[in-house]
Amino acid sequence: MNQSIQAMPKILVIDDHESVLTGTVSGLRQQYPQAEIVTAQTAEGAQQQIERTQPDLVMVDLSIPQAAVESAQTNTGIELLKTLMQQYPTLNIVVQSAYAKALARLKHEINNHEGGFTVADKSLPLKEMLARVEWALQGLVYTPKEMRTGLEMKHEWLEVLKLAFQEGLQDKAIAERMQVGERTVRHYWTQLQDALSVYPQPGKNIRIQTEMRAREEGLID
Amino acid sequence: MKELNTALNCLPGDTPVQVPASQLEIYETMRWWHQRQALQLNAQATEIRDGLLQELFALRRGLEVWAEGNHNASSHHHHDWLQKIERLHQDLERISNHLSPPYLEESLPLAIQYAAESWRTHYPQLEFVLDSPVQRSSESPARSRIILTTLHEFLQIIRLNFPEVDSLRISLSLQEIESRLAIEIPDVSQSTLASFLASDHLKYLSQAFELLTLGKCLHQQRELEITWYFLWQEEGLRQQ
Repeated sequence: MNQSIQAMPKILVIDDHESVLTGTVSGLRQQYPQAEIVTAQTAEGAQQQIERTQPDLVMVDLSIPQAAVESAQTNTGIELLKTLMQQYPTLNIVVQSAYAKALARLKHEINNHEGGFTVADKSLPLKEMLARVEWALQGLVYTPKEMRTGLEMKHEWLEVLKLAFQEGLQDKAIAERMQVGERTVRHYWTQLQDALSVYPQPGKNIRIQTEMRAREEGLID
Repeated sequence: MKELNTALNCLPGDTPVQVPASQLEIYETMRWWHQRQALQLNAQATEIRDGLLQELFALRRGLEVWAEGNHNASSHHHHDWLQKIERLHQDLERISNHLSPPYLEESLPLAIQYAAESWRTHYPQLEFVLDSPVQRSSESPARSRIILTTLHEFLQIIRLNFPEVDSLRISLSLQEIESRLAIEIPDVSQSTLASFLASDHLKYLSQAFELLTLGKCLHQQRELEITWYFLWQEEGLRQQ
């Protein structure tokens, strides 16, 4: 994440409740006082704002209306997310919802998304919600626990683990060996860390945590 | 309900079940009734999720942001209020999840997996081993709700009849022709087993399941272990 994004991110908040928008924007202002924050209350409005502002991060509720006169539907939020992930594959996204379970329908799309993707339940305290925003801005992935069970590891993620922890390669060398870009390798890291439930913790090295968890799960010898 | 040894080979099997017209009519009626009930419950859950929980979120953020800007305010008082709001949020979430169990619209395996987490909390002395597919299922939300309710009620009956049981294995197998939910109960005594099999609750649950899904309930006993099977077919595969 570059310095200007860190200090002054452009954020779009999408929610159909005026009071939720007010509370969310106020909370974001505490962490990012210089941020450019815009809002939208419908899926259509969100699309227009994204084209106009090109945000670094979109914070979206799932239950939203398509247009002003329509009622809120979870499917509208799901379809909007699907479209955003197709049109903007590196966009950082936070899903802020009181009921994020429907995201299970997008498991495949989330796994393939190259931007940050985190979920912040609306029951979270402000501090934790802001941590999810920060993780998404850093390009990390955090999905609900149930969506991670079964430990479905993609072949590419296992290859990254093997090259990093059995051959000691760094990301650049891993990218060359796998014939992909470094950005793609970073994307594999965030996805497999989410699958292993490894997230940033103060004072801990996330790569070492990943290695420990991967060994616990028997993914590497 | 039938003993598995005699019934498994003929029901539901590899071919669609032939259902008499009278039974099909009862099935359609029951299914309609169940779907209407489910619609109402889902609407109430949505009211909580899209209404009360949103207002509570706004209230909480308002309080948090206000406290940040008012360092002189009593932090103890403010902390108290935040805790009350959090408890209220959890209670409302629990009620909405009870009205409309999570993941019914997405995947039956996920819905069972999520429910199992709550059973583990509710029955800490009971070990649940869950063996279910990870893929999305093609079951309709209404059908998934019936399966989940059946499993929930079955667990209540087990707790009532076998208080000594400390582990259960639940296996879900979803196939195009025949799906199967199996619950394996180890180490049961002959005396409790007899009262379990004679239980009215078990009889009604089995009949309700069979009526609502046109499926079958079977059981198999091996020494001190009993396995209960709920079998059903995809809705489109039935023939009159």
